[in-house]
Amino acid sequence: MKRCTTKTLMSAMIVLIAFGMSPCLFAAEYNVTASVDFTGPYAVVMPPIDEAGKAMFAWWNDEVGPKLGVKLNRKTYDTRYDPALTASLWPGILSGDKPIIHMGLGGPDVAALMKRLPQDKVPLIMSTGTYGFIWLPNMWVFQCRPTYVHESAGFLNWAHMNLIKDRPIRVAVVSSKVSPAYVDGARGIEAFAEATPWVEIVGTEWVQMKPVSLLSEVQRLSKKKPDFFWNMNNTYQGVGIVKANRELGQNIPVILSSHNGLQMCALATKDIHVLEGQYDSCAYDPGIDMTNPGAVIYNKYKEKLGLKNPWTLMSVQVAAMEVLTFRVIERAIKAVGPDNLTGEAVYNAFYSGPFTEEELMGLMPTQTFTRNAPFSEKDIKVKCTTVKNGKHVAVSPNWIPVPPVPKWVK
Amino acid sequence: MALLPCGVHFRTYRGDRAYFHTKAQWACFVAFIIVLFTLPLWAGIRYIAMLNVTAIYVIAVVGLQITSGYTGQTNLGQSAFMGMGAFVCASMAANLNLPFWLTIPAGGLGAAVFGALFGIPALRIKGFYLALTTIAAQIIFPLLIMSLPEKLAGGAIGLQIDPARLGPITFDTDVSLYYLFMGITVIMVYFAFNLVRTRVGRVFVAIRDNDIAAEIMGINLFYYKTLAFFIGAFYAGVAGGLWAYHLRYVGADQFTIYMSIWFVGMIIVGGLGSVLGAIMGTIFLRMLQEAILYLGPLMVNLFPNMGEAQMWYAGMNIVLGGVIIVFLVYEPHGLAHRWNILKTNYRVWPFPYL
Amino acid sequence: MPDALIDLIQYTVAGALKGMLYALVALGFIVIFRAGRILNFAQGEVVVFGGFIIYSFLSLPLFPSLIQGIFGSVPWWLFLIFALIVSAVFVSIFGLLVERFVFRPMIGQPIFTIVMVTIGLMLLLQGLTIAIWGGGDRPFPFLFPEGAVRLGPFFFTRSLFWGGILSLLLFVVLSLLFEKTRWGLKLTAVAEDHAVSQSMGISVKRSIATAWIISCLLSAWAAVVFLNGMTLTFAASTIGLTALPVALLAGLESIWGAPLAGVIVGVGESLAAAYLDEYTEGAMSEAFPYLLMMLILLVRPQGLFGWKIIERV
Repeated sequence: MKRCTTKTLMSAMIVLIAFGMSPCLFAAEYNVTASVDFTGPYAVVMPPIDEAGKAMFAWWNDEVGPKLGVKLNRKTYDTRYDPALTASLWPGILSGDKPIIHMGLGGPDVAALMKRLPQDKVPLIMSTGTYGFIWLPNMWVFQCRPTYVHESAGFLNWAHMNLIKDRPIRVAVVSSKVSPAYVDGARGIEAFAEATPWVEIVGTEWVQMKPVSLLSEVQRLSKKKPDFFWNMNNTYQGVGIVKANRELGQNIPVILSSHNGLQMCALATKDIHVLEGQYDSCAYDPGIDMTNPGAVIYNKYKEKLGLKNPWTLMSVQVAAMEVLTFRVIERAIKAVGPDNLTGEAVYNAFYSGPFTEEELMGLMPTQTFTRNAPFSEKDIKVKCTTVKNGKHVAVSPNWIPVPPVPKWVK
Repeated sequence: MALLPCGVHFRTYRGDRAYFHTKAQWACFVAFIIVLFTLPLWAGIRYIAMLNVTAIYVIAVVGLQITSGYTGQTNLGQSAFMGMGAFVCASMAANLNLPFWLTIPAGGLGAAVFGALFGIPALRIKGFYLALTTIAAQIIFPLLIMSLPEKLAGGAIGLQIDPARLGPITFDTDVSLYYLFMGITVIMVYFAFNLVRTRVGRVFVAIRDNDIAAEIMGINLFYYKTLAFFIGAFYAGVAGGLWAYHLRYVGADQFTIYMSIWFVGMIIVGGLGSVLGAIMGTIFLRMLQEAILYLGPLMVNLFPNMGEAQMWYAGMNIVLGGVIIVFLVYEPHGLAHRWNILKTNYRVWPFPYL
Repeated sequence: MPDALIDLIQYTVAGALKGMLYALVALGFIVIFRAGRILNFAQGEVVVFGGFIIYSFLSLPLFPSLIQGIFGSVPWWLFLIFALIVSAVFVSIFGLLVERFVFRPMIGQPIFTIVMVTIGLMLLLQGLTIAIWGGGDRPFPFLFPEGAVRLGPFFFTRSLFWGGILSLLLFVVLSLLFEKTRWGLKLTAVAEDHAVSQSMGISVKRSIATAWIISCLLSAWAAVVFLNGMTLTFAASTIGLTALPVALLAGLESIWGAPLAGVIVGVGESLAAAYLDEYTEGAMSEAFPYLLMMLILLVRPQGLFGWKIIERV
């Protein structure tokens, strides 16, 4: 991997057009570009994400790429989670690196790029949950996960089948007006509850981004006797609800997501016992099973490359996206050959049939993409985890199916 | 006002007040315009893209200069006014299918009304207190957008629009957008340069210098202060409309208070009280931001063993803040002042002063 | 007591306690403005930076064991005091550095330049925080033990409760200091006019430095109350923006206006969240501090207790 490191010493602006014309390169080289953010909202999780990226690319270029005659370069660009900077960087990236696919980080990437990608002919792949505003047909944006509402619906399904079987489940929503994405999620879960007879929303509270204290809000909601609290926004709110519960002397579980889930909150509180009895739900493997093929590869390359961060859900998030990208690129290579790889070829390869769970190393369930939605709508499944007796475990060893979620975005 | 070369004199007031006094100045100006409009032919696409976003910011910052630099009304909500313009423009484009040459001015007007509303308190409130009233605009704006019906203003999911069209030309590539943006920027900046030399401009400066004295001299403070906000917000609204056509997607979270703060930074670094200063400040800070984006990964790649990547990126933030502070400590009057000094030095060279 | 009344009192008092925290941060703004006429937009970052310094101290394995070693088992409030004293020293040094290199050249500059310098400082501190301590989240230690204080049917977060009471004492002490002592009089004179106070023999530089140190100490205390047991992260600096309307509502020169304004804003926010939020989907509690501030500023343009400056034409 020293070769890889030396190669990336070159300036990000040097054009690497090596369609087999350079005699000293054995394989056709292509660029895969990625957005990173080390100083904005993603600063907390960027190191594990970046390292997972390095490890998976190293693995593919070592084991799979040479057999197909292709080498993939991973180039990162600091977009600071800002759509204006992304918009002004992108044309340079497009003309300079000619990427075959771009790995996005979050909302600003989608906002800045989604309307121009059909013309630029480069697909965008995202590892975060789908936001409501991109649940549209015919997008060049591909999501590895359904919406956050789908993921919660999966957990509620499991609760309906295993915990509360005979009456509707009562959910109290805690959201925030700070970001439209948060408001969107709250609307989505409300739409789901309306469409599903065995779930009802008992109340919604709106809080600040990093609230001083959630005692009043949790108290108000607790009066309506919910079975679960629901928060998909950030760790501060999630931990805030748990703390407010403790202050009130009660323990109503909270349903969290991946980025504010049990692993992330445990990092924030440094004590997993605080989170006893809480749940999180995500369409990825939760990152606690070290026998997972992805985990094995990551740990192997962690040694080799001297990386520092352990295998967690954040690593899974990125590794899953990258494994899916690799599988799509492999299919594209099969379709057009190793020397003719373009963004359009990769885009077409997405629709070339299901990507099975085995191909994706068990990191995601089987993905089947259609032009109706940016995420795979067929057989959506999630995995949920909880903290039991101080240990972070999965609630069920299998993938949990997700009931139908109505499209709340017209 | 820079010095003029020897032998240049005027017999009419009109000649004296012109911007371009000598043929050489005219020639430079024409050459500049030609270079500006032929830039796509010989500059890389990356620079064109940077200039696109910079052009949008230039319009907004020139508007801010009119409100804050010339009239002295602290305005920290320019980004919210820009957002209002973007939403009005996108809403009309998406719902009524109007062409861009109607929606962009409409966006400007919508933002102007919004801005004037928040400018009305300026009659009573001054200084830092006024700054906070405009921050209030910044906070209330996304809440307002998310409360309006989704069809009208996009609510939580934002608005998506088609590219701008003028007859057979569709503005959906970087180069075509560049021409559109540059054209509109030139028009707006031209108006700004002229506005500050009219009676209205002089009224603004009078209000800035001492508003009570201005009132004593017969200036209607309420009208002119509100007008300052109106015009500044109109510029922001036009910038917002251009933003809408650039990304073709507007969301309530794209217009943050940090953007407003950057705008204020741009007029300060450029120099308060001159339109040229606004332009120079914008270009300088934008280039600084882009340079930092470029340097960060470069540093990480060149020194992979010196600390984590995160430290380098955070270091970029430190550099940014540091440059701004150092700049302001050593040149509080901004780039425009330095530029004037440079021009004067050129004229009187080899003498150190006149 | 009927349920609705219990709720009302609960929300009111909880809001007042939150408001005391806002007032604490707002006081940081006010003290600096009072001395140098500088509105420090970076106050939120200063709070977080103070929090990080305290955190670093309490995580050094040396520190707690040293205290245990010298004093045996120590009640939590004594430990708190020790931690605060030690951190106070370092926070003061930090404050002095900032004042010397950033604020002193800004004396007498127009408002905009000052605003921009503090914003540059904001960026600098953000970058510095991430560079020194990394961007990850970490838990702030429980300086106030966890849990709620129960008074009959009412629950209050312990840190806010005790923090609020102690802050009230602090406000009284500070306002007495500023109004009744000679030293406070000097600072007030500097606030009114730099040139005149210099000609009276008062050192403007020293006054501003003192005000800065007080402000940093206040911010460190605010950090302790705010972050008690919560996640310590650079993103917590948004408290600065939330406290800004409180500072302006109080009037930027008034020390004892801060707790009053804080209580008004806190109670209003809490009641709006309880009774109005269901109709407006949460918009009212976010917008409330600003709407209130704008209304009051229209009537009293210098804030509730700010100085009325007489302009001479």
